[in-house]
Amino acid sequence: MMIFKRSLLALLFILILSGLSAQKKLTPEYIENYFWGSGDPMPKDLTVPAKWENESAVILFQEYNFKFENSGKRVNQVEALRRRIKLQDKAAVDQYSEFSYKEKFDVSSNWNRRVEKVFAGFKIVKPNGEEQIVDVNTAVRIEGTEDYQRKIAIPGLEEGDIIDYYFYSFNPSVFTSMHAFDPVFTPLSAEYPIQEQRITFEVERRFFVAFNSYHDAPELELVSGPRDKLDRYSLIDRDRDKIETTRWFYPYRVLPCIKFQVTFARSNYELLQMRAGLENGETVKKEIDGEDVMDAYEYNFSPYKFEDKKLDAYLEKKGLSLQKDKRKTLDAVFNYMRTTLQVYASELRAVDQAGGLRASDRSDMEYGSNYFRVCREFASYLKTNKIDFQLLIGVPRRYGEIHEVLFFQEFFIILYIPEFEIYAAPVGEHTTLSEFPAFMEGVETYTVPYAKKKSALIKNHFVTSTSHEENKTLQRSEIEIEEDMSALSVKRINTSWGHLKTDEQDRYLMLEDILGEDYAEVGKAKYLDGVKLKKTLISQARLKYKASAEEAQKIQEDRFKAALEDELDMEVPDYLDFNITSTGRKNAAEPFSYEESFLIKTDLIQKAGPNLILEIGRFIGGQVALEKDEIDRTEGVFLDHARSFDNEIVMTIPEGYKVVGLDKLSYNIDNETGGFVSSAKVEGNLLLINTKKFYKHNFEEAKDWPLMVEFLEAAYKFSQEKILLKKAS
Amino acid sequence: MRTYFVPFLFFYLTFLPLCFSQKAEKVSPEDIELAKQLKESYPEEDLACLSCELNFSFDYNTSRQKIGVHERVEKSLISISQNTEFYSTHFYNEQSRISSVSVSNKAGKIQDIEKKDEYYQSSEYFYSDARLLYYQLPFSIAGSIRNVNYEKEYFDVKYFTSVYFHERYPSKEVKLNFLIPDWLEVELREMNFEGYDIKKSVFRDEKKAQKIYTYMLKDIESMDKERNSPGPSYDYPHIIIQAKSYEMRGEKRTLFESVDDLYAWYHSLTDLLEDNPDSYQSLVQELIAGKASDLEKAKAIYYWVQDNIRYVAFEDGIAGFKPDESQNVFSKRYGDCKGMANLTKQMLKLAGFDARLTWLGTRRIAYDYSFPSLSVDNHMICTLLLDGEKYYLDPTEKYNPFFNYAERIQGRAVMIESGKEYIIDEIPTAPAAENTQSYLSEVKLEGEQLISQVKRIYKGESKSSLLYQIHNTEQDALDKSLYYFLTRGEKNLDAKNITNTSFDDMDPDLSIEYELVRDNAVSDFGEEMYVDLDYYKPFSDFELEDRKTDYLFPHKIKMERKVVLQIPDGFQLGDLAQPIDRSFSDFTFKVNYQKEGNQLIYSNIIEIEKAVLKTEEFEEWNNCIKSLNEFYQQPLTLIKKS
Repeated sequence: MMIFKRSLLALLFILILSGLSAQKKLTPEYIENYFWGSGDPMPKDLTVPAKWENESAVILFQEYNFKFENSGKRVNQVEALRRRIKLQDKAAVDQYSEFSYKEKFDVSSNWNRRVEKVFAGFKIVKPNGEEQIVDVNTAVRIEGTEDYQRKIAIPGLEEGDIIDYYFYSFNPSVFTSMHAFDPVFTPLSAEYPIQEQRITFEVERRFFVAFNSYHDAPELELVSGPRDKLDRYSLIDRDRDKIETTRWFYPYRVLPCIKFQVTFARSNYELLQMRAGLENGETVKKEIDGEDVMDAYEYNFSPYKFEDKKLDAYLEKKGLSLQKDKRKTLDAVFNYMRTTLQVYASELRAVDQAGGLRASDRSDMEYGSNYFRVCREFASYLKTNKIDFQLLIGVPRRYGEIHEVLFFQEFFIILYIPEFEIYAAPVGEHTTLSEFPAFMEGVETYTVPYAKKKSALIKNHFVTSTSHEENKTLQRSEIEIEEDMSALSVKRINTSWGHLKTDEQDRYLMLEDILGEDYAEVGKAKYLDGVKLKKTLISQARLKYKASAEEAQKIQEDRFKAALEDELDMEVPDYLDFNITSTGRKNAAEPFSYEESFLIKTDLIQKAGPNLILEIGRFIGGQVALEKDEIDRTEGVFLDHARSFDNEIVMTIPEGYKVVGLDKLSYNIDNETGGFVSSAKVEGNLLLINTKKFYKHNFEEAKDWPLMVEFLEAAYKFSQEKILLKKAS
Repeated sequence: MRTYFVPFLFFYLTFLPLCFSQKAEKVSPEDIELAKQLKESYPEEDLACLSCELNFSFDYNTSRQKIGVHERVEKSLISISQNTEFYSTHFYNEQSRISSVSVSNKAGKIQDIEKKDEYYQSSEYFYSDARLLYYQLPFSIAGSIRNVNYEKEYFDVKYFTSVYFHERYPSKEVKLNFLIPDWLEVELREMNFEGYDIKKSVFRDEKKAQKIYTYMLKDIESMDKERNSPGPSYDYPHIIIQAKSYEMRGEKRTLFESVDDLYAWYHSLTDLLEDNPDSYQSLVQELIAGKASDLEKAKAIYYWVQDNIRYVAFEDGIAGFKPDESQNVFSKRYGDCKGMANLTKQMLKLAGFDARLTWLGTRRIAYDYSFPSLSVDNHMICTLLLDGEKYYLDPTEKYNPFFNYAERIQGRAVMIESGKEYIIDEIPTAPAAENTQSYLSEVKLEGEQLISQVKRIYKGESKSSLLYQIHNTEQDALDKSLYYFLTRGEKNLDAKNITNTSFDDMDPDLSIEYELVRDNAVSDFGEEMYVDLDYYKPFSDFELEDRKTDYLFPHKIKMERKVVLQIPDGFQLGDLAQPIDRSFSDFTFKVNYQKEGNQLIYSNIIEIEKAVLKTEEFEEWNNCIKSLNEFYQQPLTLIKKS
């Protein structure tokens, strides 16, 4: 999994601590004097720009500082934060009237136990400039004694005050070889506007900094002289409005952001390796390019020779072979591996929880639980059978584009088989060959041919963007009105394909739903049916396993019911039945499908004298309800993928009634971004309604937003429509 | 040597995994059957108690010079689900300790448990000295039995206030034994025993010169976990322990014999206060300057404390009973109820008023001051005595006007300090009308839209809670939040030209006026139009089904909605929904349409005169809600005149 720290709040900081190298100097008094002493470089101006006077709070100044030093045996890491916030209303005072923080952090290794202290300081600056320092000794413990968690109430805090605080940590570690510190990726804007912020690095030359700014964020500047012991870098950012997010918005693609990672090199060789791609005079790495990718992945992903007699027997039994039907065989092989590795590992986890796992099988559980395992095994199979494939290496589109990559953790890898133009992706236990995650839709990737040597060219490849027809949900609702006109009896068939199928599979399919069909396919017995353990142990494990499976079934029912209630925006106490008719796990074309039946009492049907008013529009499910301030938009629209939602509503008209108001149910909007098309007619005693709502792409320019608004509003309006069932006079 | 070593290693590697496998527990078929039966009786539960015996004995601790209490508990718990995960919990604080805990299986074999001991976290308290010792009970399958034995010591009998029979899980049998020595006078107050078959016996143990009081109750359901329920002291049977006095070397020493003794102790704590008004003297003068009357002056002080002192609760040993000095609360700008009450008192005193600290139990507690116990109160306020009247000031309330008392303290018994004496009194109650929320609107149809001129008025607690929300919203988000509140975040509603009375003034009613445009409220089918006049439909989803405990409303409620519709030209009214005019106990529902000339007046008045709905009233309540729903279900019909 990629790890992003999404908020700078997760970090701790300081100003440039020149000369601060010895740990022994670190007393609370020293730190306090450092931040708040005579050398405090914080701007003295306490006024808030007029444009922010109505904000809840304004960050007048904040500085993050990182310092990395090599003291021979140890690597010393300092992280510090200083922040000064003007609190302009009660809500802000309330927000900052209590702080909780860790007073210490555990840096124990398997060799020794050690904790390091976090220095914290808080002071209030009154509007007249008077300062009140908070006694940190009034902080109270808030969790178990092992956790060092502290909570402090800030005394005397009032509207109009400034709260000025810092956190400082010093962490000495021992690394015997190269060590990459956690990468950070964050927007520069925050919950409140920021008048000025600085980010500062001080690193010894044994450390290597990767840093880059995006979307007009200021650049990091080298501020130290060539003779300084440490390289000092600083970024200064001013006048930053608070973060404003909106619907279908990928903040990392739009907002000014920064990314960075610091790596420590134990040896000169490692340092040279890291600096290899840098131009003359450059000290900070600003991107990972194709060369780096080639270096990193050429040998890292070298599939071993594949051999599995059970797989061979399975294929033989199915009458499949690469010679006879290559594509079909690959599908079967992929699913076989999915079953025997990933699904099996899931079963073992459930068995383990029931207390029935032999410790010797634990490694199988851990092995198969690695989400990349199936792909790796499949790659070996392809290699062994001389089927050409490539590694596609790209960044999930939510986070950026390929030329913006700064660290390897950003990458996601999928396999590509050019012969069939299909992908194999490490995703989940329902994924079939050719399915890949929506976040790789249309993503530009590096292509690493597995078999070729370094001389091979790296070509850019764009992962397929699926169409709205491929990612589709079809709902067919059959509605009968109960004889006493008090309730609607509904039978609904839901079918989904593509990425929408994946979402539904993840939400609804439970282990038992997939174990049965998968194990029957590959001829595998359930673990607890074959394992050799003491009789009492196995019988107890079976009982517990069964109880868990029953619980899962209950969870499944709750999920179906909750999804329905969420969709119709009302409670459905009479959820009668559901049945999964197709799990959609055999191949990409097979849909996920389920039927359900339920009663709706009173909510959607109103009696008006002898007539009935039916909120028929609600049957297409809850629609996007754009708020007034969403109608105008300046940001591009990021959707996860193109998609469509089709509805067929078939209602039996009760005898003696006729339908009035059908004219309101016809819409026909189809533009470049998507559409909403609907029609309604009466045939015999049936009311037939068809609707189709579709989003054509996974991204729209802001200028095209009005086109989207057009069909979104139409669909919303439809969802509010009613019909009259008029009693014949 | 080597030849032995290799096979050994082989043996070790091969069988190590099995050695680490979980051990199976032998559960007898009888216990499995018992678990099955219990599960049938209590299908929602995972655990039941087969037997539980609690023994309480008393002794005099010479070093502390206090009567201590020793609690010894033996219980046998059975898992009635296959996957029972249960944490056994024991609370203690600076006045008590858990001296031993052990868990054994049915055969008596001691089980390994991983105990955790932490400060108890609760959103109610910023800091509490309460600690929690907890551990998971290792159950294998349904029918698995664990015996839990523990001992707890209370250092001072004063803090040992009550014992309940009910637990988080159902119990087949609970037995309470109080071993009371002759030298100690204890009254065991039997509370809420009615309706429970509690067997009581008293046995005199001459040899040990003590009396043993035994109470036994069988087949006990688990304590309910329903929301908006009254505190447990209202319904569940329990015993209040009132240690009155003891004899030491022939001399009688009083503990809590009467309420006088309780007050004497409280007073001894407040006597220790060293208040110094220097820091807030000038503020008090500033607040009262120019105020025409004494009430205006007192109000200015009370509102200042409400507005400027944050409520931060501490529960810390004796500090849980002794207020903080006023100057500390003033400089910190935060305090708990006692600190805030004391600051209010001291500021009022400085302004020349007679103000007193006042103890009370909020409505969560069923008791009054008819007996002395630390369990009778949980709150402190300030009483202002002026011109023969008492004004109860609770500065922990927010946006609470001077003459309004919050529901949680209305009708509660109070103990007001009066030097060495005290005054017992009761806080007045107020009618629901004091909390009225009104919605008045004039509506006309324009196409398929309803255009309304709306005026909403909030009084009393309905106003306080709205003001609280308003003041806790970021100022840059206030307009949006108010819009959201008025339109309920519904796309079909749009509020325009919003005006309101000041959000900063606590005294007058809060009024908000605006134009409301509603889409989708009119269904026009040519000959007929159907109109939904009330988008709010108060109490439409308020049927109480499968509820076991009384329902507590946040306060008494009076909701008043009046919508005046201009009947459009060319239309006449169809059949109108049948009016509702029902009342029972303290609840009234009046909903109707009335035609007056060319206007149709929709009126909806719901009054809840008592903020608690008793279980025996549920049926009638649900019937009213059903009628209400039927009314709401029927839209107003406008028929085109032929």
